[in-house]
Amino acid sequence: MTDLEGRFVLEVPPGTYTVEALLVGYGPARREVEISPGDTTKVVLKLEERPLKLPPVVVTATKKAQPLREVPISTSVVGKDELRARPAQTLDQVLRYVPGVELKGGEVGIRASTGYSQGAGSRVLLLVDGAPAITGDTGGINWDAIPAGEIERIEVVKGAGSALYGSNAMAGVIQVFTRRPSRTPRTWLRMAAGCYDRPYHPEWRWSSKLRTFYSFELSHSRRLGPLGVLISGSRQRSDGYRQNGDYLRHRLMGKLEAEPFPGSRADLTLHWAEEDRGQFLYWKSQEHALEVPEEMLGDRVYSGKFRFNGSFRLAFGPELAALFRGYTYRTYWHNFFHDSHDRSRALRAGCEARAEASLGELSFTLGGEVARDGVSSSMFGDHRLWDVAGYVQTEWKPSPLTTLTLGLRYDRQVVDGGDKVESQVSPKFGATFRLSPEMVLRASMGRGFRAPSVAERFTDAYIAGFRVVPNPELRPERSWGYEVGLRWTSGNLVADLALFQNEYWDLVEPQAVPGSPLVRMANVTRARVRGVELDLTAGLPLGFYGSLGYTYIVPREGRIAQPYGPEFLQALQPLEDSRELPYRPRNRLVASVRWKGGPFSAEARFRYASRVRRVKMYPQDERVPQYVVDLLGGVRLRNCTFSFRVDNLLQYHYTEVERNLAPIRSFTVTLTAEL
Amino acid sequence: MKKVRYILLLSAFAACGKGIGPTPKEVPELGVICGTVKFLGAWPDSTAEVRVAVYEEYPPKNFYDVKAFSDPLPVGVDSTAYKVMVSPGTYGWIMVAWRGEGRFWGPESFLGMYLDPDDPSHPGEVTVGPGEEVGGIDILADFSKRGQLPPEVIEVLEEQGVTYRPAPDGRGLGPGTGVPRR
Repeated sequence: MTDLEGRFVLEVPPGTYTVEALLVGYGPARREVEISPGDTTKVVLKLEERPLKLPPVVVTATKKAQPLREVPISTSVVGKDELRARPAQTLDQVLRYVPGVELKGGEVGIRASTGYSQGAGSRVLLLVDGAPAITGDTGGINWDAIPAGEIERIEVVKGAGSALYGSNAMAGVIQVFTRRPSRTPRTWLRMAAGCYDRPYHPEWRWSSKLRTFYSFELSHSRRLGPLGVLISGSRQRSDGYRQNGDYLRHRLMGKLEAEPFPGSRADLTLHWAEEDRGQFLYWKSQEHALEVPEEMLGDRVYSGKFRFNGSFRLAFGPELAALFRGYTYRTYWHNFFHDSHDRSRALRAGCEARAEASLGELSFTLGGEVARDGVSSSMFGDHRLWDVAGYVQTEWKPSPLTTLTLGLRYDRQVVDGGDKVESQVSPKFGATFRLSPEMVLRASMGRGFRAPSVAERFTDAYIAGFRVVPNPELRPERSWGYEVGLRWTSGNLVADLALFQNEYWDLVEPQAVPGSPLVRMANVTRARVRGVELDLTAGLPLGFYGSLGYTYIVPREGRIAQPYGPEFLQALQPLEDSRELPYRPRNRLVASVRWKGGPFSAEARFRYASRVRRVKMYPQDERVPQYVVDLLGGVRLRNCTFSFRVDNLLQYHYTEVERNLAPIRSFTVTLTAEL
Repeated sequence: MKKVRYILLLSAFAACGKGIGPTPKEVPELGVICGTVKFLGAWPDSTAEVRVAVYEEYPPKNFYDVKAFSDPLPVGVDSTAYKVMVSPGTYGWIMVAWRGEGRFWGPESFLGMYLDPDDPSHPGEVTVGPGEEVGGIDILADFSKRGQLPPEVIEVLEEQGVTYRPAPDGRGLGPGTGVPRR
C-alpha cells in the first residue's frame, strides 16, 4: 500500500521485476525494473483515469440500498449524466422517455395502469427524497412542485408496491432524489430561452405574436461549519403554444445536511413553489385546435405548494440502522373560471420510523407510518383522513446466487373520525437467481391498493354541465402484479426483458347515478393488463450510446363470472365479456442515440405510441398514433455548457387527452454554468 | 451513404405536419348520422349549448346513457346541419338537447326528436353500418315545448324513482335541481 501521496518503498533481492500500481477509479500501470545489488531505483508510474463501471444501486424497490441485479422487480434508473444531458423544465418531461411510463394530461401511469382517469387520484406513488408528493385533496401529482433542476437521480419501480409504500403504489413507485449539498462551494446557473414554431396548418395560426418561453435557475451549495447547505431558486415563464397555455412559475428550495456524530446523517428540506397558469380544458374545434371555446378564454388557475421533509438516519454498526422521517405537503389552488370560482387547501403530514437489521444471510426491515390529510375546499368540503400502517420485509440469501424477499404491510384508513374505516393487507414476494455472471432471472408478485382521495369521495360541484355528487361509500382500488424478468449484462450492453400481468379491481371512474341527472365517482372497472417489455442500453463505438425501450400490452376490462379462491388466484381465471381498456396504446417505443466527442455532444430521441383503440368521451374524434422526434446538441467550454434543442422536430400533431393537441415544435437554447 | 442521408432528410421533411389536421377525418369503423335541425320559437338568452344526442333504444333504459353527442350546434340560428359519428348499429332515439348557462343536462333539456317518416307519432329508428353515412335525419326542435318528454320516457324515469314534471320554464323538476351550488 502506498502512502497518501502515492509513494512506496519495496525492498527486494536483485533481479528483474514488474511493478504494477492499482487504484480504484484508475487503470493499472506497469513497468519492468531491473534491480542490481545495493541499488536504489526510482520508479514512477502514471495512472490514467478510468471511471468505474459499478453495477447501479437502487433503494426504492426494497427501501434499502441494493444492486439493481438483485432487485426482484423491473426498475429503471435515470442517472445524473442523462439528466444533465437533457435539461428539462419539469419532471414529467424526463419520465416520458422511461420505458413503460405513460403521461396523459398530467396523469402518470406505469404499464397501462392509468389511461385518463378523469378525476381519480394517482395510481403511481411519487416520492421526493423518500417523502410522498401526492396532494392531500385530489390525490394527484403537481409536476411543477418538483425542482427539476435539482434532481440527481430518478428511480422507477414498475409493479405493485403497497407492501412497502401503502396507498397509491398500486402500479409502481417513482422516487426523485434531489442533489445533496456539496463539500466545496459550488454555484450553478441555468438559463434557457426559446420559442414555439408557427403551427404547421395555417388554420391553426391563432396568434400573430411569437410564442416565447424562458427559465432561470440559480443554486448555491457549500459547507458552513458542520452543515452542508444548498439553496436554489427558479423562475419560469411561457406564453404557451395555445390559448390559455401561458404560465408563470416561481420556486425556492433550501436543504441542510449534517452528520451530528459518526454513523449518523440528518437532513432537512424546505421547498416552496407557486404557479399562475391559464386553463386549457378542451379545444374550440378541430378546425381551431389551439383555441379554447370563447367563454373559456381567460380561465385561470393559481396554485401554491409548500413541502417540508426532514430525516435522521443512525447506524449502530454495519448490522443495525434506524431512520426517522417527518414531512408535510401543503397545497393550495384557486380556479378563476368563467362559470365557477372554486378553491381548495390541503395539508398532508406524516412521519415514518424504520429499522434495518442484518443477521448473516438474513436481513429485516421493520417500519411504521402515520399520515393525515386535512382538506378545506369549496368543492370537496372539510374532511380529515388518517392512515396508520406497519410493515415488515425479510430478505434471505440462501446461496450467493439467490435472493428471496418477503414483505407484508397493514394499512388502516379512517375517514372523518370514523365515518368510514378501511383496512388493507398487502403482501409481496420476490426472488432473483443469478444464472451466470451476466444473467439474472427474477420473479415477483405483490399487491397494491389506492385509497380514494377526498376529491373522489366528496366532490360536490357542477363540472362541464353535469352535477357531480359525493360518494362516501367509495372503496379502495386494488391490484395484484406478477412479473418474470431476465437481465443480461455483457460488456457495454444491458438487456432487460420482462413479462408481466397486472390485475385490477374496483377502478374508480365517473359514473351516472341511475335514474338521476347526477354523476359521481364509483368503483366500476375490473381490468387485466398483460404485456412484455424490453429495455436495451448499449455503449457503441466512436462515442455513441444507444437505448431502446419497447412495451407491448393487452389492456382489457371485463368480469369473472364465478371467481373462486383468493384474489391473487383470479389472475388464472378467464376474463369474460371483455373489451379494450380506454386510453391505453398497445405499443410504446422509446429510443435514443447519443454521441459524445470531446466537448461536443448530440442526441436524437424518438417516442412512439400506437393509436388508442378506445376512448370514452369523444369516440367519434379522429385518433392517431404518436411519433415524436426530439434533437439535442451541446458544447462544453470550461465550466459552461451551451445546448440547443428542438422538441417535436417533425411538427407531428396528436392528442394524448381528447381535444387537447400536444405541444407543437419548439426551439430552446440553454446555458448551464458551474462556478 | 449520401443517398441514405438524402432519403432520411427527405422523409423527415415529408413527415412534417402529419397526424391530426384541421379537417377532421372520419374514423373508418364509425358511421355517421346527419341531417338538419330546424328551430322553432325564440332562443333563450341563457342558452349555453345545444347538441344532438343519440340513444340506442327507445325509450332509453337510462336517460343518461347517451351513445353519442354531436358537436355544439350554432346558437341563435333558424336551422343548421348536424353530424354525429356513431359506432355501427341501430339507434332508436335521436333527439335535440338544450342546456342553459350554469345548468346541467337532464330531462328538461329535451327540445325535439327525429320522427318515423311513416308514422310521425313515433320516434324514428336509424341503422348505420361501418363507414356508412345515413343522411336526411331531420329534426324539429321547438323551444316552446322544451322539456316536454314523450310519455314513454317519463314512464321510464318514474320507474327509476324520478318524479318528472316539466316546469313552466321548461327546466323540469327532479333530483338535483334546486340544490344550492357550492
